[in-house]
Parts: sequence; C-alpha cells; structure tokens
Amino acid sequence: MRRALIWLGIGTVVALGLVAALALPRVRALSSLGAGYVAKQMCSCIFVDGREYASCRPDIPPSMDRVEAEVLATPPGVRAVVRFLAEREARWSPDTGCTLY
Amino acid sequence: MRLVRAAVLAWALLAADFAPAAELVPLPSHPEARAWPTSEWPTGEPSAGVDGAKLASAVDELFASIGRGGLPDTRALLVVQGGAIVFERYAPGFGPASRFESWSMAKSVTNALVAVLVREGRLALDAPAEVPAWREASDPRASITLRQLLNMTSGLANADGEGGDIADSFGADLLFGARSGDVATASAEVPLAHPPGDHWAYSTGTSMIVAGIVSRRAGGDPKSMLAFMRRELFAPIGMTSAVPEFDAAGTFMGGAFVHASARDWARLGYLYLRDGVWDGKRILPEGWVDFSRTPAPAENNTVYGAHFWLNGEPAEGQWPVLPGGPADAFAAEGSNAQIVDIVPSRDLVVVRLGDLQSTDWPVVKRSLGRLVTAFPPTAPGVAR
Repeated sequence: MRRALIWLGIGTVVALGLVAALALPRVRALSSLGAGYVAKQMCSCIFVDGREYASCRPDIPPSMDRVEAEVLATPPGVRAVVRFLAEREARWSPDTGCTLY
Repeated sequence: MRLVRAAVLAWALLAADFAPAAELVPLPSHPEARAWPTSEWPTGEPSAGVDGAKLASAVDELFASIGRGGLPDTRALLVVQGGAIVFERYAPGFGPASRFESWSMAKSVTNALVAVLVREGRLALDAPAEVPAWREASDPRASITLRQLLNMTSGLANADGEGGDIADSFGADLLFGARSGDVATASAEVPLAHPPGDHWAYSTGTSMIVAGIVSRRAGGDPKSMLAFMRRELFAPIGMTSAVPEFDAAGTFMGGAFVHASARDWARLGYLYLRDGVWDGKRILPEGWVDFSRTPAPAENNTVYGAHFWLNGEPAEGQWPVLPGGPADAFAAEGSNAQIVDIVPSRDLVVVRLGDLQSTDWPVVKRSLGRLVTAFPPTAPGVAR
C-alpha cells in the first residue's frame, strides 16, 4: 500500500511537471506580450503624451495588473516586468517617440 | 528584373486612375473668406439649423462613461464645420495641446504618405508592391499591388485576428510580442491565404508593409522618414504636434502609432474633406480621396475603402462608421474608439479621442451618429 502511494505521488509530480513544461512556452509568450504592451503604452503615455504615471496606469487593461512598470530616467523609457517570466523595455526619443525592445 | 519593374511602374503611372466607378457626394470647398487652419484653427458658432438640444445630448452621452482612473472615456471631442471649430471639449487634465494616440488611425496617415509619393510619381498604385521578401518573380506574392495593400485585399495570412485568441493574434504579436522588432518584415513573411485582390481582411501588418515601402522610398531610416513626413504632410497642413513612432528596425509603425493633438487630427480629416488640397496646394493627387472613400472591391467588404472606413451597409463581421448617420461619411478609426469622422454632405469633421473602459464601440458610434445628424446637410440632394 505504501509503495503504491509513493508511486502515485511520483506519478502526480511527473504529470504536473509535464503539464508545466508544456504550458511554460505559452505562459512566457503571453507574459512577454503583456510586458511589451505595458512598456510601450506607458512609455508613450508618459513621454510622448506628457501624462503622469498615475493617469496612464488606469488605461492599461486590468488583465495586465500583474505587469509591473518602472519609469527609467537614462535613457528615458519604461521597463515592464512579469516576475520570473518576462521583461520588456521601451525607450523614448523626442522625435520618434517610444520604441519597444 | 529591375528593368521589368521600372517598365511596370512607368506603365502604371501612365495608366493611373484613382477615380471610383460609383457616384460620391462631392467634397465641399473651403470657404473663401475663412483663413486655412495651418497655424490656428478659426473658431465659430454652429451654423443656423443645428439642432442644439440633440447636439448637447450627444455630447453628454459621449462624456457620461467614466473609466477606472475617474476620467471620462471620451477625452477629447471636437467638431469642425465649414472650416472652423464650432465645438471643442476635453476631459479634465486634457486640452488643445494634449497628444492622443492614434492606434489604427495611423493607417490613414500612411494612406496620405503613399498619396504624396504617388503624386510625385515615385510609387504607383497598380504596380507590384516593392517588398524585398517578394522579389522572386515565381513568388505568388510578387503580383500584390499597392492598391490591394491599401484596400486590405492582398490575400496575405496576416489579418489582425489571424491565429485565434489574443495570445496568438497576429496583430497583438506584431505590436507588442515577438514580431514587434521588425514589423514590416514580419508582416510580409507570411504566405497567401487567398489570391490577391479577392478577399478583404483587416490587417495592421499590411499597413506596416505599406509603411515599410514608404520608409524605404523616403531613405530607409527613421531620420529620413521623419523628415519626409514633416516636409510633405505634417508641416504643410500644420499638424505640428504629430509624433510618429518606429520599431527597433527603424520602420515607421504606420499601422498603429502616431500621437497628435485633437486639433491636428482634425487637420488630417480636413485635408481629406477638402479633396487633398490645402490652402491652394495639392498634397494628395487628384482623385485620391475618392479612391480612399470607395469600397475595396471584395465580396466580403462594403465598409472599407483604402485605409479609411466608410459608412456603408456593413457586410457580415464589419461595422458601420456612423450608425444612423449620413451614408457619405468616412473615417479614420483606431482601437478604443479613436475616431476622425469626415462628412462631406454636412461639411463636417468630428474628432473623438479617448478610451473604452466603461463603454464600447457601438455606444460611442451611435452617439457620434446623433451628433452628426444634429447638423443640417449642406450638399444638395442629401436627405438625412
């Protein structure tokens, strides 16, 4: 009985690991998309449109609330991060606005 | 190969004909006594015959929805009638100097930039589009024309919704995901989903391909492109607040990202209302605006022209520009209801900018339809 429980536990862990491994690329892609959206939109809102961070952030859809945004001074821009999964940066120039990297 | 392309381009220039087959409401002229709005917009009162109560209620509707940050979803609303601003209102914190994001209204800016190059004889609508990835004559995409790209009938498998949900959406990935580094190349390196010219599909990627063509013609780098845009379009019409944005490869993001003030977005609309002529100078070639406001020839399209939306009876899956509004209205439109409505039969340009946090497209469009019909027709024979 004990041996069966151990095997059941191992099987469960392996199955969960497999599911996580299969889902990870999609989760990463989604996270990168969200980070890209937040970086670009916050950068343009703040540096091109001249609005405050607090005014811009509510314009980001609630589905991206977990994406953290940091305003950068040098070079000016915004870095957006989904912890452990994705990080994107948008940099501003006066003539050509914000470019996403 | 270059010789063949040059010959085709020369033929296409000689045969250039933008004029549509269908009869269109004539584009009204700028009032002679009124200054052109190049440096300042003239202001005035709405003309006699405007239904003031209907106008006021439409405005109230537009400013009624309040978003997450406590701001009205409509951040700017501006009406130009007969060459003067007759109504202008902003949400708190915004004003005439504020810039607003275009989203897909940038496609209509791209339309204007192509028009300039066509007028100068440097691009031809019916010549094969000059896209590096399609250069081989055996490539099935080599026959795609600039006209088909502007009409969104290229047949390329790069429609905005291509791929399914948001995570796989071609359009979202292009702007913010893995394809965002080189948007023109990523948009062109897709197979055909339909034969060119047969099928309409809305595609930000297609506009990026067009922007790439324009960028290369302008010099191939952001500095040259920016100089071209300012010299040929923004400066002549006084659209001086405009900030176009670029991808990391240096291509103008002509499908999605231009920032400008509400008054400057009105200037772009006013250029099209006046048939592409500004203060005596032709910016867009003759017939170009009519081409832009004529439905793209595809079975599944009735409301899309050439990088402008039209107020026809929508085909399945399409939306009208101005529900309940004049049939001759056409518009630049972008996500979250960035809208420049151009209404020749009422000599109007209406600009609505902002967000859609607690309202939606149909509600905004219905309100704008009511607003426009508060103004009387000025063109002869237009009933509503």
